[in-house]
Amino acid sequence: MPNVEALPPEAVRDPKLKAAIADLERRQMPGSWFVRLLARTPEHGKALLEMLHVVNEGGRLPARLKSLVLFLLAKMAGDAYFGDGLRAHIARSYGISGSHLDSLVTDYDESSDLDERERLALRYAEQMFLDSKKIDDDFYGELKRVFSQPEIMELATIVGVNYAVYLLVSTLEATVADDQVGASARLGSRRKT
Amino acid sequence: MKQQGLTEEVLNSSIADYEHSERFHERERAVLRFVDLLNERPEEARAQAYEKLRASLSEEEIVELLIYLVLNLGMHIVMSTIDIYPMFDPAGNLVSQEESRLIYGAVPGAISDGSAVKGV
Repeated sequence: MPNVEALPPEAVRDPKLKAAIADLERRQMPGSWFVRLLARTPEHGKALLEMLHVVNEGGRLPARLKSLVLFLLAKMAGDAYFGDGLRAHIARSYGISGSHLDSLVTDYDESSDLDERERLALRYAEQMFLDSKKIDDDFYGELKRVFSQPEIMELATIVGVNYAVYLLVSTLEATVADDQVGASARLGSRRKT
Repeated sequence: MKQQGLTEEVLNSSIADYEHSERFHERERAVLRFVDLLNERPEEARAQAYEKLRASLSEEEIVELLIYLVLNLGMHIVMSTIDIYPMFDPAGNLVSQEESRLIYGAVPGAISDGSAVKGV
């Protein structure tokens, strides 16, 4: 059981949060538990969801680069809730296996399947997580060689916001098993096929 | 912060020793304890930590605190890696980056005991 209880589905009153849960169900993605948790303080919850949406799905950086960074952060934070579902979702999106995805973010410096920008973005995300004080002028100099200034700010925002979210979710000790709405939606989908 | 009764003395000395400071009530101490744990030893911020927090805050307040922490923690992590100068002078007034550079010198000052201020 998670350390903080999410609202039961029927107790979510806010139309935007209800729509967000319905959207996750439609896409058969986990995450409804997280939205139902945020629904305990709807105004704050909506603001955070909106920010995550803009940061993770908007911007100019390639979606694949952002997905790799998100997965690395979830993995490093030991986030069981988003981690496993995220691995399956990203791996499926790029037609690779979950274990291949694991190896990409674990051995990014050695992987020929990643380009220079992806490798550097992963190193930046990893160092931000391990010790952000070690990201110095030289590191930003390396980033500036392959990223524009707006792209660097976008990357920094992605890492900052998602790092904190994953860190917190990992302390809540929630798992996808707690995501009853999402789980039932996925089960229903399998039954239909 | 001054508007909320938080003086520099409180921020510099009492927060560092919030466990023993009489300036804070138990709810504030519980929150500061949790923030400390999350920042220093997140692997320990588990069930017990939430149980202690629950003794002082409602579930709604805990979720509000979590969202507040997420946004601020993320922002501070990013800002700490970028060479920017404090947005406030030592007296707490808003200043431009150029004014701040003149005040704080070559090394941008993070939250400190004031020793980063030029000439102090």
